[in-house]
Order: sequence, then structure tokens, then C-alpha cells
Amino acid sequence: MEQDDTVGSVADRVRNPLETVLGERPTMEHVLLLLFLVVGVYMYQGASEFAPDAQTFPRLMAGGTAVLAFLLLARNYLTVVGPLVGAGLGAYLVYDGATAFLADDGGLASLVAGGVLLVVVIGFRERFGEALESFVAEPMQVMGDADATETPDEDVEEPATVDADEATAADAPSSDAESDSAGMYTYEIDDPKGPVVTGVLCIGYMLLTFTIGMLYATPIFVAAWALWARMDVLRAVALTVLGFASAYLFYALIQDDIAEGWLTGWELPAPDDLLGLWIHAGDLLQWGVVLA
Amino acid sequence: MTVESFVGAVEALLTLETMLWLLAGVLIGIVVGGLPGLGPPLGMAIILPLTLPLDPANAIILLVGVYSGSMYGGSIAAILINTPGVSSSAATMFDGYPMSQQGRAATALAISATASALAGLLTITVLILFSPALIEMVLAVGTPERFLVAILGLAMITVVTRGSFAKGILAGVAGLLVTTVGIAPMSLDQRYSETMYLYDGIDFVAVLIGLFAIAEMMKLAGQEGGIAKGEVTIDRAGITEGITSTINHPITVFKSANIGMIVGAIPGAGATVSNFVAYSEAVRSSSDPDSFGSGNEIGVIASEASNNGTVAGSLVPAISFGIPGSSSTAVLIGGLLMHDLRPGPSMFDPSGELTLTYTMLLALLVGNVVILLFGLSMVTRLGYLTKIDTDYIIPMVVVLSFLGTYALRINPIDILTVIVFGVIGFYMVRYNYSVIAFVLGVVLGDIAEENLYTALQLSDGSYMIFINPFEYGRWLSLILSILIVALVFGPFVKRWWENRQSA
Repeated sequence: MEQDDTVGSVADRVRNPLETVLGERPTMEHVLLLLFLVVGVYMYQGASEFAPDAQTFPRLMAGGTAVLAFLLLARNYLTVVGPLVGAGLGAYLVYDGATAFLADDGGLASLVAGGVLLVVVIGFRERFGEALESFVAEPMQVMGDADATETPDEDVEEPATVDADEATAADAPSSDAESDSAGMYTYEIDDPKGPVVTGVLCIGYMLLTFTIGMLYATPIFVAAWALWARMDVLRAVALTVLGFASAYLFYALIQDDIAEGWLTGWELPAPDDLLGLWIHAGDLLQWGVVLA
Repeated sequence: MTVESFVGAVEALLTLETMLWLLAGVLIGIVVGGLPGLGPPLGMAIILPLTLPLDPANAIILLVGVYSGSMYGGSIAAILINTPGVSSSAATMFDGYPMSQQGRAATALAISATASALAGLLTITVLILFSPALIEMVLAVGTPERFLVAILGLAMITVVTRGSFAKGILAGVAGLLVTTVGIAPMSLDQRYSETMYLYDGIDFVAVLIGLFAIAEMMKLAGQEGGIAKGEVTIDRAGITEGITSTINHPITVFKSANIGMIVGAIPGAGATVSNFVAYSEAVRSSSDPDSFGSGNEIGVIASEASNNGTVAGSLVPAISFGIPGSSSTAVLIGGLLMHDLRPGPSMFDPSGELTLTYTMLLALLVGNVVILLFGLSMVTRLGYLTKIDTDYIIPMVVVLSFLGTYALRINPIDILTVIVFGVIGFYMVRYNYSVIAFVLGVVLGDIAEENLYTALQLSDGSYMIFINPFEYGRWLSLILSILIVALVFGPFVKRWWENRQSA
């Protein structure tokens, strides 16, 4: 494609992505990618503090994570953003390689790679952007349905305004597009509250575990779940007892430290200790009568 | 020495304790596979921490028993309620459920048990027979090549798994990044250990449990159905018919089992793909293709023979190079690592763990006999599994996941890891990021870094060791590097070439 560098076309090329950005609806995928990006950048920076032998691998992986997460986040604007990222990366590699080369004759590979990247980005920026777009957005498949290679990526966000009611449905990946795939495992969510409640209950279970220990946190979690699932009382009690029995088996046979709260240091009496208290039941009753 | 190891393996397997663990594994697997929403990786992930008190051989036998059993178990829900217990039984639904509706549920279940067992027996036998050649091959591979094989495995997964190529690579790289927390292999530096609880790194068992158990339970909590709505009639009379039908189609069994084995050996492809490939091949080669989808027994045979054949295939890259062919083998590798067994040459070294490798393969062989006997004798009772409400399954799976993870090290970070990776796994699957690639990264991280470190030490820090055979004499490294580049860039070059041709 020939490039038109008039003022109008440049303005268009800036305005179009801006409109896309403003119209883009944030989804949990954005959150996921932001998480990868932040973690990648943080770990890349952190790796510079390690000994040279220990920093190669984490830097490669953290750098890869950050760059890929960024490319995926910016996938709707790659024709504009892609060459800029490529140029930045190329310049960084050249600088990094040149510094290492001047210091101890190392970094030649980095220097060459950076140089090549810069030349490619500057010389073929349109094609570079398109290639990046294809790398990031279009599905590839070696095995399975051949049609899959022809269809556009269903995950690319539509730059349309979506109202609140449509948001949940639009958030779900297209089942039609995916149901023909043998190479992946897809699913649909009928009740969006289910995963949220499960996640929240898991966090509650964790906090209780850190407070009163897992032995007693377990039946409380199961009872809370049974309450949410609106189980009938008999089944809820049976399930709670089963949960407690599982925790007790772990406590008795595998690891008794699970009964201690990590944050508080509390360790509530175990069931066998509580059973031991029955010996004093008569005394307790007597004290109760006296006090009464 | 190989024969001695084999004899040692037979002796090890034929002890009462080992046989009981195998039996327990297969039965747990059948139940886990039969419960809609659960599956082999989840069942194995929950069992994983519980294997800690066991000796390595029994622990691995328990895990492979669950793996093998759940492959068969998945067909139960597929046949009886049109919901695959595991994704690898999806093609079984096409003909299994119509058979069930026609009152031939027992025949379909008997076909499933027989085809699964025969395919398992066949492929494991082939694997044992070819193991000497495999041993030679694995022992010939050096450190730089092992690093490249790991990268090749990762590249294969991202290509095989449908979806954006960048997403696949991101998942794999992020998985590798997780393993950089804690003590660096070889140099023993502490990395990213802001708290003492991270000194030993992020526990991969906790990551696996989060990705497979918690993420799956979150998913299951948002889904309706999967429970048998009414009574399913399972008439014992159809059992003999099912066995006879399977035996009368030896070519379908043979072909599907081998498709399963070959596809299973490709990292990332797994039983879900082999299942459909074998089914499609059965339809293609049939003289009556229109009858498929309405209760054709050959459809069930092909699907079930292929998914159990996958077990043997997926073990090849798993124990040879530590590359999981599927999610289940990723957990299996996790089990090996948990018991201080490194996948790779030591698993094939007669003075190393070769006896254990043979014990594992023989256990799978016997496990298939258990599947056959149990599957056929319990046909009329299997319907109960489809009536268990997910509301009871979810809290118990979460409880077992938390208990198993926490009891391993009593490290609060592990609980946090389970939840964080559970949520990440849930959204990764939802937005089509390859969880298998992520798991591969987590499992392979230490192995890959260790081999990269050693390879760079061999070359005084030069990456040319991977591509310059004239200086380093490593032609296999060059071939593997070319393969990786071809795999990664091949689809793009192909499309560019096609566009150019059509223009």
C-alpha cells in the first residue's frame, strides 16, 4: 500500500486510533493483559539487580511478557503503535549491545538484532505494522478445522459503543466461532455471578485460614457455599460435615499445622481435644447450677 | 541392563501395595472423568499433594492410574447425558448419546470400556517395545539441544492451539517467568524474594491446582446443566453386544489408537484433538458415512480408542524431555518433579530411573485391564455418576485443593498462589489464552533455564552454540533452531506466499 503523507491523511491516522481508543470497552482481558504488562516490566527492572548469570533468563522472559502483553493491549492500533514499539525496542537493543560491546566486547548479537530491527521499522514501517497486526490478532491453526485460519480473530474488540445490558454477552467469546475447534477448550457462562461468588468465597476461605486455621475455616467455607447454593438444610449439613471430616483427616494424618492461623497464631482446640472436655461436663454443669 | 530394568519393574509392580495404588488410581480416575466438569488434569492436580507421603513409584503409578481411568470415565457422561465428562470424549457424544436414546446405553458403555482398554494395551505395548530406540535417542541429546527442545515444545503448543499466535507465546513466556522467582538454578541467587515465603519460589503444585482446580470450579459455578435430568435405562444385555462389536472392528481400534498415540505425542494437541481426528477418519473411511451421528458404533469405537491411545503418546515427550503433550502430562511431570525425578535422560538411564519408567508403563498396561474389568462389570451402575450435582462437587474440590496445597509446605503464599492463578486461569481460558502453554512454561522453567545456563557456559556465553555447528559441532542444535523458526514463522510466510500468488 502506498503511503499518503499529506496533513489530512496524517490527521486521519491519528484520529482513527483515538476514536477506537475512546470507543473501546474495557473487559477483563484488558485487566489480565495489564497484569502481565505490569508484572513483566517490574520483573524486567528487578532482574538488573541480580548477578549476571542469574539475570539472563528472567530478563528475557520478563521482557517477552511485557512486550507481548503490550502488543495485545494495543492490537487495534498496531499499524501506528507497532513501528513505534519496534523502533523503541531496536534503539534499546542497539544501546544495550553497544554499551556491552564497548565494556567487554560482548553484546554483539544484541547490537546486530537492534540494528536490523531499526532498519526494518524505518524502511518498511507500513508492512511492519501489518505484520505485527497479523502476528497478534489473526488465528493460526496447524491442526483442526481449516476454516479457522480464514476467520478473523473474534477477540478483537469492536470499537462500538455497547450498552450495559449487552456488555455481559459481548464480554463472552463467540461460541459459534469457537465451537468448531478441536484444538482448544472453550465454554460459556450461564450465570456470571457463579464464578464471582466462588472467587469471593475462596478469598474468604483464605482469610479465615490465616485467622483461625484451616481446620475450622473449611466447614465455614462449605456452609457458606451451601447457603449461597440454597441447598436444603439436611444436605448442607451433610456436606459441611464431609468438609470438616476432610480437613480433620488432613490434620490428623498429614499435617497438624493446618489448624493454626498464620496471621494470628491462634489454634482452636481440635475435635479430639473438645471431646476430652466432656469429662468435665459434670463439673461445668455443677458450676453452672452454683452460679445460677 | 535394559532387560534387568524391565524385570525389576515387573517385580516392583507385582507387589500388593503397588497394585492397590494402581487400582485406587484407576477407580478415582473413572469417577473424576465421569463427573461432568471435572477431568484428568483436575483429578491429578488434587491427588498430587496427597502423593507426598508415598514413595515415588507408587505416587507416579497413582497419578497415571487417575490419568488412564479418567480418559475412559469421560465417556460415561458423554454417552448417558450428552455432556462429555472430559473434553477428550466430546466426539463420543456424537454417536454414544444417540445409542443411549435408542436404549443401547449398555452397548455404548461396553464399547467404550473395551475400545479404551484395547487401545491402551496396544499403544503401551508399542511404547514398551520401542523404548530401547527411544532411550538411545534421548541419551544422544545434549544440554543445548534439551533447551531447544523445550522451546520447540512451546512453539508447537502455540501453533497447534487455535487462536492468536501472540497469545500462545505470551502464555508460555509468562509461565516461564513464574519459575524465575526464588533461587536461581546453578548460580543459587535469590530472585524476587521480597518475603521469606518466596525463598523457595512459587510452588508449581499450587500453580497447577489453581489453574486446573480453582479455575475449573469457577467455570463450573457459572454453568448450568451437566446433571442427568431423568432415569437412564442401562440394560445388562447390551454388554456382550458392545464387546463383540469392538472386537469385530480391529482396524478401527488399531487405526484410532495409533492416531491417538501420534497426535498425543505432539505437545499441546492432546486427546481433544486426537479424538476428533480419529472420528473424522472413521467417517471418511466408512462405506456408510451418513449413519454417523445417529448411533453408529464405529464412531464410539474410534473416539474412545483414540483418547486412551493418547496417554501413551503424550508420555513420550513428557518423560523424554519434560515436555507435556497435554495438561494431564503437565501435572504428571509436576508429580515427577515433586518426587525429585527429572524428566529426561535419567528416566532412561539403567543406573537411574529406567526401572521406574518401565514400572509406570507396565502400570498403565495393567490399568487398562482394570478399566476393562471395572467398566464392564459396573456398566449398570455408572449412571449414578451423572446424577451428582455440581453444587456438591465445587466446594469439595475447593476444599481438597486448599488442604492439599497448604498441607504441603504450610506456606501462606501457596494459598494466595492457588487463588491468584485460579482467577488468572479462569480468564485465560475465557479469552482464549493457552493454559497448556502457560503450564508448560511453569513446568519447564527450571529445566529450560538450567540447560540454557549450562549451554552458555559451554560456549563462554555465546548464543552461537545454538546455530553454528562449524564452531561447536552441534548439528542437531542447528536443525532444532531451524525447526523452531519454521514453526514460528512458517504460517506467516505461507500466508504471504499465498497472498502473493493470488495477487
